[in-house]
Amino acid sequence: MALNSLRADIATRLHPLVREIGLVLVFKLVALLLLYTFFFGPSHRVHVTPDGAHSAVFGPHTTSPADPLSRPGG
Amino acid sequence: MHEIDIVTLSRLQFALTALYHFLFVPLTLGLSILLAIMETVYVMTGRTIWRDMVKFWGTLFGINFAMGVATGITMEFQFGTNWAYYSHYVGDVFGVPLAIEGLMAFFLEGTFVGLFFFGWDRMSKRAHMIVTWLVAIGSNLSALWILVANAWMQNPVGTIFNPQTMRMEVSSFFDVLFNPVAQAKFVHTVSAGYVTGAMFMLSIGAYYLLRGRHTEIARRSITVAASFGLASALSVVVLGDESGYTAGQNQKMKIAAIESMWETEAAPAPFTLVGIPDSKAQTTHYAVQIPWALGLVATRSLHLPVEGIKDLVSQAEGRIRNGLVAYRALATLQGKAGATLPHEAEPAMRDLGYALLLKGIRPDIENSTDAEIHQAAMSTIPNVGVLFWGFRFMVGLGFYFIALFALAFYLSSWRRLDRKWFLRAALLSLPLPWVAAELGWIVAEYGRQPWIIDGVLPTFLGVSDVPASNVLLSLAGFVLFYSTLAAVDLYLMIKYVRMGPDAPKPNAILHVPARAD
Repeated sequence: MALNSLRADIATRLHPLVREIGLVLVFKLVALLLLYTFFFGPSHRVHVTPDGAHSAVFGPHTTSPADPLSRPGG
Repeated sequence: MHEIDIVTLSRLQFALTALYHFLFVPLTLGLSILLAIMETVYVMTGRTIWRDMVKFWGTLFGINFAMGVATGITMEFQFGTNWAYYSHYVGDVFGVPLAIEGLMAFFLEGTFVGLFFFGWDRMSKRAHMIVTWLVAIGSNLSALWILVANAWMQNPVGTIFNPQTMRMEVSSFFDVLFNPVAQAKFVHTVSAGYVTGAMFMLSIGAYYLLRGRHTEIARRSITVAASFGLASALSVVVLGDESGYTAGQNQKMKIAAIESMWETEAAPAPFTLVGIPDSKAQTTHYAVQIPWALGLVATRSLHLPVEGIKDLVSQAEGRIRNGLVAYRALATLQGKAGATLPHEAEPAMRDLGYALLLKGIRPDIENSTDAEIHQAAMSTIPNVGVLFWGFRFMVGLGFYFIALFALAFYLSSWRRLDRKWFLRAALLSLPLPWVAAELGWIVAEYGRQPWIIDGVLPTFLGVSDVPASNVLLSLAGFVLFYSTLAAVDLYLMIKYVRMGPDAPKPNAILHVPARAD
């Protein structure tokens, strides 16, 4: 009861901007964590060894060049 | 349906996150310095209106800071996934300034931002002023380290390539830090941030004067913004000239593409004010030129020529052939521990990156034909139209800012800030510094193509073999994430600008309401 009252008291005293920014920061943290977990976490990382880099550069491997816009006339 | 390749997708994702991130950065850079200046005036004069101004503009700074903080981390996410080969190849160099930025500048800035907001009643006036300056210095130091990293991509100095580890390694940290491109970029970029901060204050001050609200604070804000903005706008142009000079020394193709200059012009080269670049016909139609101007900017001389695109392509062909010598020598080293490059191949190492351009055409590049070498050389031409127009809009805006701030300075000095036409123009100009800053980045980074590290590593070789669907989905996630943040930022900014300086300040985090008892 006392705890609830204290919470309510703090909520009314908190500046609205602090509340709004707090909410945005929580949203941001969650969104970044989700993006990291689903797309950029350790399981998604590509591990490149010196041999792997050597093969990519000197091996029989071709990567398509950048977009046509960066070619002359594009 | 046309499939977008992984290189384009990865580039698009990085470009979008960088451009979104840079919506927040320039205002932080500019407003933090303006807050420090206003608070210094408060400490020197003791007039409380200056403290009120710091608190009001500080609230808007806080909103922008809270929205912008950590939005740049998404770019670092991408290094390990989308750009793994790039990270391996240059991570030892590129990671250093990024780490210093995180450890030194960001923590300095982050720590003192808290003290800035919640330290008003807990510190002396002087101590708080020092805190505000430290916030500003921290923000600017952040920019320095990021720009040192970026400048190295434009002008990779102070490093050597180790064929055993397949990495670029730092040979002189001094050269990396004092890279002339980094110095020019830093002062140009932070000045652009100062213009953004000054325009923000000028526009919102003009809004209050148009509404007849908070006129005392508005007039003082406009006076500060006008003088600081004028000095900054002049600096942006002067320091932009320095950027042009460094690019003229290190990235000749970028300068030629910005100018849509296909032929080498006799010294001193003219600057094309306007025209219609035509990449297919390799010319610029209806060009209106200013004699000597480009020669002076790009070479600081009247006798040195500025090379045109066609000559630079010919040079690139020569460098590709030379790079193939290094490539063949390096290809034989695989699996031979302790083997070193043959002495005769060492001079060709500087052109290895040019030979790697052929990888975009065929896998066994040692067997490239003359036509393929020419094709690879042609790929060193960035998109001329985008660079030509992006640069001109950016420069045009730069001169507009000088005119607007000069006018604001004149009107505020003569106490004529009641001119409605001027106030409306100032208000409508609010988004323009962001447009100019984003165009600046587009010119700088698009102009670096086809290189991810200029002359060293083609962009397509830095990209990982990750599924395109992954990049597409995360790209959609980023667009949603950043759009939400930008919308909330706008909403909060508009809300607190409308409330004005009379709104209770967030530093009174626990402002106790008056009690009847």
